[in-house]
Amino acid sequence: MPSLHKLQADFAGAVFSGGDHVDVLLAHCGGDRGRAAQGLEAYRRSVLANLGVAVQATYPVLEAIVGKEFLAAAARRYAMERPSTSGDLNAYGGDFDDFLARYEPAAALPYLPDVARLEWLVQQVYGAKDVPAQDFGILAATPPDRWGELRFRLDPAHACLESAWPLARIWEVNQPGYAGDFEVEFDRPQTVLIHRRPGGTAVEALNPGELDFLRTLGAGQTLAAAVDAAAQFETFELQTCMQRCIAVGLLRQVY
Amino acid sequence: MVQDMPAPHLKNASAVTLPVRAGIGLRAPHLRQVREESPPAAWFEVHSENYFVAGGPALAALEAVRQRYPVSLHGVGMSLGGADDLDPDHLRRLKALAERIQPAAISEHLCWSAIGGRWLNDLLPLPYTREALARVCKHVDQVQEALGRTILVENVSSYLRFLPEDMPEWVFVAEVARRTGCCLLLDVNNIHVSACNHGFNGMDFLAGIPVDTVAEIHLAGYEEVDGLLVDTHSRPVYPPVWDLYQAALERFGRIPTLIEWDQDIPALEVLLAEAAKAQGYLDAVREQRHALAA
Repeated sequence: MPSLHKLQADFAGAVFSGGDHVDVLLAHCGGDRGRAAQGLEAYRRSVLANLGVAVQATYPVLEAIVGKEFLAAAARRYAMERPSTSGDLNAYGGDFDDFLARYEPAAALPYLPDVARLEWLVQQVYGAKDVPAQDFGILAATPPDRWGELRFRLDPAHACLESAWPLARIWEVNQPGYAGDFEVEFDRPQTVLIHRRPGGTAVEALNPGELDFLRTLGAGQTLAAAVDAAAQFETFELQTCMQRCIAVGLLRQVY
Repeated sequence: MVQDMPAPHLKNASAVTLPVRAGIGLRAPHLRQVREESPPAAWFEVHSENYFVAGGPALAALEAVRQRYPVSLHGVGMSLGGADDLDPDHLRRLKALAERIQPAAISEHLCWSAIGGRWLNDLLPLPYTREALARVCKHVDQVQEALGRTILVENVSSYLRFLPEDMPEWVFVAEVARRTGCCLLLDVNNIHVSACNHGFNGMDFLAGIPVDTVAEIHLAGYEEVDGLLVDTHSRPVYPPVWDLYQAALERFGRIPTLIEWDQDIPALEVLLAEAAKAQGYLDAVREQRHALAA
């Protein structure tokens, strides 16, 4: 019997690479060779299925776009090529966007990597920390000319993503039960906000300047600094943006 | 109620506060229903890793379920038998979850899942060697030390057997419990699957396990593929597994029991009906089995 490390390394090699690893491993197995090979094949199928299904489950919008079989094939190839680095299978699949960008069969749909990025962020946001919303009474108690000095804590259950593609629209038309028209204008880039809310995770397009505004606030800078960051965009409207952020609970605390 | 008290025969009774009744594995498709309807289940077991998150609806649902039922945390990714060191981050997350949920039991598998930092995320078979035994025991010690409590370890099903081995599987399993003081989660379906695949008698396995170590029993269904039994958790419990379960209860006494179903998951009612069937077996075992066992 080889060392435990050698045996396990051969096993992993047999699962992911096959070839000589299979012969080396089977030499240490009991029973007849055919039966042992059948057992090893059962493990190979199980490992690759576990990894592949984990990826598929993370990317339902991709599945809606390319179909179950296409995604399953891509996920299977991904499982062979990209190692899982955690005992938590939910952590697997974070670089599926990068894989898709190089995956030849997906070349005709260049927006798929961005959709993958979006869906990965949706999953991260879903399990992000819960932070209770604060009473914003402090705003009323602060003279308007001092508001610029305020800082805000954003809900950890949010993310922003810049894209050259209309991601919010792609997301919308691929939701289960969507019954509107399916036309997507692919030449309209969208920056999206992903935000976990009581009714489910929202994916919405941000207006020009709002990304800079949120990032500046999220970095712990003052409201005045955030407004400065957004000011380069003429259409940015502070009041509209603030009201919306507070209404949906994106701004959690003020200090 | 006497019948709901934790198993009194255990050497480490404090490790497990599960009721001595039949519970079910709680998976994502039923989480909302269980939270909203509070079905008549005795207890629930979840896969620990599915709640390795900082917050959000899934964790909130589990906390709500925990308010009303005993919950067991069942890990599938610790890789106790790995030649690699344990992943400290994985252990830290399990500890954080345990502190939040205050589970009635914490269990892991007697298997390996990763090598050289690459995870296969599956319950892979160990060679039953002295080296593997030492490795597993070191890791069980480490987990129990980190969690500050006794854990349960579960025998897995296997489709490969490595030779030469230094001991049969049941000696390996019993020895892990003896050396580390951990309890055993006896998966009766896994015993049956491995017994059929490797040609040993499941009764020999049961006979090799000390009576005062078994704290929980698992039941599930398998599939047969060209003569190989595969532990799919996708079927009702089969008759030979019920028979082995009966034999286990006669040997170990009344033990908290769990119905597992992980693929082709049916309606919650089907799982509750399977649990009710297991409960029938539990109810039929006379209390004096404990006295005999002691």
